[in-house]
Amino acid sequence: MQTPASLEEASSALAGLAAQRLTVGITGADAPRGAAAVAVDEIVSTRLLDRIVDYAPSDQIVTVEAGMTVARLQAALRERNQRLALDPPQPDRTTIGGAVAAASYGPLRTRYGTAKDLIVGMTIVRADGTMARGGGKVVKNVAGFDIPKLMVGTYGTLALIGTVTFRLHPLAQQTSEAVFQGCDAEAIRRIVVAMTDARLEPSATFAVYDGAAYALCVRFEGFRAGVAAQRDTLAEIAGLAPSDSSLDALHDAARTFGELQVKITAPASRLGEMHERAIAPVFGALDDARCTVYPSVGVAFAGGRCTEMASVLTALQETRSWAEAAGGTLVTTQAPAALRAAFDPWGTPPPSFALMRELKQRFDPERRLNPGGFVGGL
Amino acid sequence: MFADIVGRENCITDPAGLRVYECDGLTGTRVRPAAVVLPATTDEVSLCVIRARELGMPIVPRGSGTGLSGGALPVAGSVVIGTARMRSILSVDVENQRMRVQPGVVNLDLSKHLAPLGYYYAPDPSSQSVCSIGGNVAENSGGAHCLKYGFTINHVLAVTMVLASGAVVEIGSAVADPLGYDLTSAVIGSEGLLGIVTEVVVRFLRSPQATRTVFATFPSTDEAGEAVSRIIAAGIVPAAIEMMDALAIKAIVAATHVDWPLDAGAALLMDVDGIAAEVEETADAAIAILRETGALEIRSPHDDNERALMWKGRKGAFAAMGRISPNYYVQDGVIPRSDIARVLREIAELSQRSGFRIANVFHAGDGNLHPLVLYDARANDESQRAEHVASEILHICVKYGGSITGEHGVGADKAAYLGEMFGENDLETMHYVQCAFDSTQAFNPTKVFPAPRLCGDRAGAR
Repeated sequence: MQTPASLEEASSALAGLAAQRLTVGITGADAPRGAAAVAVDEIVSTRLLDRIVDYAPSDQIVTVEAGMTVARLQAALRERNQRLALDPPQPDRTTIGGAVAAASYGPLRTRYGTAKDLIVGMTIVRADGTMARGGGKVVKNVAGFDIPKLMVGTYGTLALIGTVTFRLHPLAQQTSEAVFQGCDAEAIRRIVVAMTDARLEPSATFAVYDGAAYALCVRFEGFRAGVAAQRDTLAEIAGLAPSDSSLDALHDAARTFGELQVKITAPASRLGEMHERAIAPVFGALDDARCTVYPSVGVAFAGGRCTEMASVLTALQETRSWAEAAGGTLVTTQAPAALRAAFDPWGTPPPSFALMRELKQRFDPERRLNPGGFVGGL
Repeated sequence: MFADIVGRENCITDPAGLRVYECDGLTGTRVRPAAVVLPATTDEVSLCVIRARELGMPIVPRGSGTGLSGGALPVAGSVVIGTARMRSILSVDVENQRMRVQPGVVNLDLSKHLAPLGYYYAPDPSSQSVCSIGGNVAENSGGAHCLKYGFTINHVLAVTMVLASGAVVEIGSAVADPLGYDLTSAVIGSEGLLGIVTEVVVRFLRSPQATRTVFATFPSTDEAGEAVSRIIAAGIVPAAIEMMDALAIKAIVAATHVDWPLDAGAALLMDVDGIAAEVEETADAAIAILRETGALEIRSPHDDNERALMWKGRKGAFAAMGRISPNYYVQDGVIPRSDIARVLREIAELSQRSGFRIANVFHAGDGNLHPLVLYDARANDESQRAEHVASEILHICVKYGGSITGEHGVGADKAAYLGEMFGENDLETMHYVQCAFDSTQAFNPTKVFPAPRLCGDRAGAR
């Protein structure tokens, strides 16, 4: 494993590996994790690239090296009353580069979108070791093609992410959570629609499923009066008494639990069907299953242990068929080796796959960066 | 050449008809294309692209032609493929807040269509009453309200695109997190170099509970800039916060019916929107900051009409320059927000040194400057010198770590300057994207990149 401590070292490392024609896995930790983990000749870890390069609080812009963990970055920003509005699970071990490469996100997706919506600049190291920059350090910028946003969710198959520049948001003055226990999928959908109709603006909406019912958590953030008003309106439209119990721990556990972890997407309007056709079957096939749903986004994460491999495989196949027919996807973000061999982690390549292959060819013509680690063998 | 595909009436080849298409909003540069075609469907666009390739003609995509960087400027011998007839809203999915439209649909028509349902489309370039969604996709258009709500790239989820081969491909998805590379991000802001977008899927937003508009005048841009910094530092994210300097105010008052004071050195126009109770609280807090930083006068519109008039004044600012100058050059650059006052002083010095009046209208919240260099094209070499002054402003933006364009695009106008922001390796990386989509470089050649580049078969090989 190589652990460059600067961009220049990362550049030399990749150039050296290119000269030897070795395949390379890029990680922020000790080994690539998840669906993109494939066998490679050498690992390049960004874990020593862990500094804040530039932080301009008055411009609400930070440039950070890829190996810094999300938690450490947030701690530094908190001192200036700011944050990166991106909350992927396991912030203590998730690096900025990893979160960006895997397009990872948490409940704040509800309001702030994904990494793509927050990135304004990036320095990458290409397969041949060439360093290149895209974007800049201002929020608004349309000069040249948007390489930084294109790098989001590329799982180390196009380039090494060296530094990332983000736009930041102020920390909220006030936060309030309402939790509704004992919901079914219809009730969640009804509440989500009613919140939109009432023009509420939750910063996070997610639900945790326990095999019998969902607990729905809605978080409001902002200034005092607005947060209080939204909480009151929500209690009225939900017609349920909220409890104050935080669901954060449950959410985090459900997002990162199990030898098998699955992400399912479908149109948000089809939550009821998604429950019947995707969440319940996968949940039923797993042992010790956990599941969390972002109902306004249209995504569910489920995880658990696989003891009955055959029934897990059947459930995954049927669920993927349903999800893909609905315009969505089923991805196994983590899977035991036996299952990986029998079930493609990614699923059917999209209609634009030929263009994706062209892009890979241009960036990594020798197919040395995490080869085969992404959809369709990219 | 194309009449059999689009019909004789939608294929323009006569000199008089072609004259209309010689330029876009960058009116100082004109090139007559060989032909203009106005297809109505994706299939027709595809056939036109195939035909153009057979004839060896470069292809220049065009929306409403309001772009200010010459993105739709024809190149010699080219066919301009215009989307003006592709104006249908194809479907609206209220439940998922998604809408599929043809590229020629005018930006504002999305919000007009959605208004009865209580929704709107957020990106609002000043030209929104005429500019097209396809053009917005090409330019990654912003607008006054992108400070809070983001740009086209944050609101377009998928496109249908005709590639150089004539192939029609679906890129992105209306459903969250589509598999594979985020090609939608590559397409948005690619300025017509990758293909022609023939359908666009956007997400739309619920209209906010409340909006409060505040207008304030200041002795100078220094105090106005300080007010902007302090409002943002207070944790307030206004939907929009726009600054106009004395010269811009003068032009806007002359051109519209706003009754803004002519003796002010600067004005801010701000929208705060969101939850009603929060809007009250944050608007009041912002007003207190405006007072503390030395506002001369603070106004709130009494009704929606007055509010609309204020915004009409701001959005008509560029055109208003015609009232105070025979010609003007619109610049578009970005600087870190905290450097606004310093940069404006440098621009003022540049104005004095060069003898050209420069009006400033800009999106202060995100540091996006629109200096307007006023000149008289009838006077000897003034247009060239004005353009030179405008380019000096870009150097200032780059010096402060900003960008040569925040929303107008690189196009033909700024291709020469892209190399000042990016090095050879950076440009080469961008070029990989172009080659992946269109290795023939049939689409919009000579735009964006400072020098011609070939897509070698062994791209990236050492």
